[in-house]
Amino acid sequence: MGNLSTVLLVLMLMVTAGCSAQRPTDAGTTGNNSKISVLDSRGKEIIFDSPPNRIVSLSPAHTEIFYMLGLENYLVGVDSFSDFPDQVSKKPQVGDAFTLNIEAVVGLEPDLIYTTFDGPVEVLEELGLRVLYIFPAKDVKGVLQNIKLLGDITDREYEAKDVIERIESQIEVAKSRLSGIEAEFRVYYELDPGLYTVGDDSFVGDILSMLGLENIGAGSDSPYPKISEEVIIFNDPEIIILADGREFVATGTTVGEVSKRPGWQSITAIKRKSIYIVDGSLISRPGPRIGLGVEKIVDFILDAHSKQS
Amino acid sequence: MTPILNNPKGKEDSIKGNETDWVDHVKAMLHRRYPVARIALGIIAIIVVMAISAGRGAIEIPIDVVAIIIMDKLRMAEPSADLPSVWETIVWNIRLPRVITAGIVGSALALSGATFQGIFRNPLADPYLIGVASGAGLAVTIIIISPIPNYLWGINLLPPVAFLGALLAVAIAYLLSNNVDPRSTNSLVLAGVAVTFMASSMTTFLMLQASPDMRPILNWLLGGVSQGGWDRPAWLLPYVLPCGIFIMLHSRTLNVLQLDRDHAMQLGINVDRTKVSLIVCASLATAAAVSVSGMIPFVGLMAPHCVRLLWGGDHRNILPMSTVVGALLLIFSDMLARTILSPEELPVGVITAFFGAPFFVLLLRRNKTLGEQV
Amino acid sequence: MLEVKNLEFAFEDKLALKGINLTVPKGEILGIVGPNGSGKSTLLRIISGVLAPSKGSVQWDGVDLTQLPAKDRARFVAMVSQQATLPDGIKVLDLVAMGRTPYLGILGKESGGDLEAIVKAMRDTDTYVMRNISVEKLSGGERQRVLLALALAQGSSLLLLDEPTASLDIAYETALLDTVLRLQQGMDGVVIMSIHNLTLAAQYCTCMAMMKNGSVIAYGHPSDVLTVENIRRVYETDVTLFDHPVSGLPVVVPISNAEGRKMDYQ
Repeated sequence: MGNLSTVLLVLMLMVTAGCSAQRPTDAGTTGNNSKISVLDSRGKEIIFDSPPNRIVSLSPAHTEIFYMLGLENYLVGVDSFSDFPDQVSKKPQVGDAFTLNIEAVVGLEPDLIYTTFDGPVEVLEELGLRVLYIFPAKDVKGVLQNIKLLGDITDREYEAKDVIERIESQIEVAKSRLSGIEAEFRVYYELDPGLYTVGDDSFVGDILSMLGLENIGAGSDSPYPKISEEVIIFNDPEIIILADGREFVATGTTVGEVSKRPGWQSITAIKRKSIYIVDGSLISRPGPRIGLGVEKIVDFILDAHSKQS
Repeated sequence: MTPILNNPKGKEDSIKGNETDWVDHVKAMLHRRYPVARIALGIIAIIVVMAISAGRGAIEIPIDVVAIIIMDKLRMAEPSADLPSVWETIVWNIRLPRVITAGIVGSALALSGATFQGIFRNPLADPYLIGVASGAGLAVTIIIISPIPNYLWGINLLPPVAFLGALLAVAIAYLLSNNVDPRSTNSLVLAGVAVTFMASSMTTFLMLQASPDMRPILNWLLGGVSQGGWDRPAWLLPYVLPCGIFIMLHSRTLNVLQLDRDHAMQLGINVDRTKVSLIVCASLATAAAVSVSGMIPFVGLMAPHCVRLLWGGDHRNILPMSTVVGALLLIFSDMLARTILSPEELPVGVITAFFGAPFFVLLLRRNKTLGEQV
Repeated sequence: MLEVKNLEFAFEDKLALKGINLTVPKGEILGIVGPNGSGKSTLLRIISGVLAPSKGSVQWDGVDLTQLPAKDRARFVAMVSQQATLPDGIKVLDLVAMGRTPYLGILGKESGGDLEAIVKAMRDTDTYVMRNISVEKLSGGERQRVLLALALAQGSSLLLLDEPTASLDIAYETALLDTVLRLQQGMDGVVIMSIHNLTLAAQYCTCMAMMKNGSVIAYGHPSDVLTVENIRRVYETDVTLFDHPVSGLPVVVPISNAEGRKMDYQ
């Protein structure tokens, strides 16, 4: 019995790994203000004659974008992982992108369903609903593009431009705080105490390299590799960041626990106490709060820098 | 009227000499049943493979350096001044405990598997048969997705919780079977299967409820012997060592238990009590292994089976050699898990599952009588 | 001497054995006969200690076997079962050596006495030639001989055989029983056999007990026990009895009730 279910688990692991290894494509918009045509991630053309009035969002990042664009009243349903801002808890939930409650979605009579996962797309379209399926953004640029796209579709171009500029300036300010210091710290970003980290090909990985950090997890192909303990020790990170928060596992890993891991005492980050906890949804969610996330990381870098001597 | 049949043609051993010679021959045959030489060779092999494995990984460390590091810690030699200290940390704090944990877990699983195969008289029994692994998995899943943090007051909660879950599952299976049909081992197997199904389905349900949290659960379930340093072998030994010794002392008894229950009883063995005590020991050892390294598949099934196909059904051979083969298997698999996708690391359960299956098929073809045994 | 005193055995509200009393002196071969369900196997299993009686005792030279711990009892009584399972992959020698289990400690290294008992058992059953053969390769007759060797290796004075010839054909049947007979002549013990074939029982047993519905209804010399009336009472069928021309022991021939076959006898 144990052996059979393990084979099934292996398959599941491969599937979830496969799902996160998608290549992003740009979703472009064409057309004038009255009619917008969007190419979704399947290459299918989705037409918007008019801005949608009843939106269901199956992506927590885009729920946040909708709120920031002032579309709160047009959002009729969200997925169970959408947790920001607080008001969203009052919205009807329809399950999540993996296990969607189709009936609930249909019952809300939406004229647009936004999803970053292709699982429910066909089913919903067969029911005559309009679905916009866009890969999750792989980098900051991609997030800004998505914000612009949503602004275009919903006739909120100015608000979108506002949000984009705000985020860009947040990032610029954050980066400028790093000027004048040698910030090429080696960093280990821990998603999970099973030693899962972020690779180059991930959103977080992109932010880390944007800030000039040397990500230990960058050596492998997968976006979320499980890394060997000795690799961490050998590469001796100067900063350790622990991801906390619902989206990528709330295991309550503490700084204390990490410091006590056998064999880790020789690591520079531990010796200097440069271990930091970040709310995962700030920097691993490709949403409008990434500016805040970047600020947080810069805070860490500055703190680590001050502890250098 | 003399019977015609007495000498089966073509099957006999010659009878040389008189009866005192016979006694000597018999003595030689019987006393050779304990495969001392094989065990000694096996232990040497384990040490060699451990040493090799301690040198391989994302960072290659030559085996003589490994030896020097070990001897330095034992205050038997001085390392050269230019030895990178990070190598020392890696070998002594990471690799060595890991390799030793793999050895202990592998031998615990294999020995338990061999014991269960003997008690249930089924060569397809494995140590997870009566619910140990699924009980541990369910307990761990509950902790991971519940608001209870995995680390409380500086202790990793998962191993003790897994241990309790494992024992609870076995206890439930035992009570169930005892209620229905007290002395039958078949009913224990069925009860164990029922418990396994229940626990597995609850685990899967909980996993789906907590989608993004799936990874740590999957990670734990697929098994690994890494992390945790010297704590792990220290936690394992107090369970595995005494249980292992107890089981191996009963090698001869396990042979006799292969006979009918009545027959074994007539030979003076308290069948029920012996079976229960062996099941308890095997379950304890398995629970300890699973609590430390998750649900590693195939080792507990394959190792004793290989030994059985290679060297026959005498438990005085099977029990110690399964222990050796199990250790070797897991140490080797762990080394592969660490090196195949370097710097990335696979859960060791993936390796044992991937290589276990075809290897098993190969052995199956080698010895076709397997079909008749099942 | 074996004494069975007031033996009773109840199972699921049914009395399977009712008040059995037997006295078997040393040197005897006792044959237990009776229809299926008469309690033959149950009686043997109680004497061997596998089942515990509800009432009564089984005494050997005054020692109550039912009260002994299993290991001690195993030195007194050994049994060869009807359909014994033999594990695959084990050699004949190792199987016979299992007979010494009651005498060995946990690690079980056989000492001189054990080795001699094993060799003697195999010599007496003519199984020494097969010592290195895996048991699954044996024929039916060879299996029974090996099982007999196992029982003999136990060194017990009381030997029980439950339908030992049930699956054997004629040559093996006779061979096995001849072996038992020969062994008993050198032994100071008691052999008890449950046997289906009445004629065979008469030829080889020195005394006989006939059972029906859990009771012994006749006990004594085979010629006295095997009578037409007894057989009619117990088996509810008619038979013809002849005397064997050489041994003088009863030969039982069933009478057919089919048309054209019915024979008129006085």
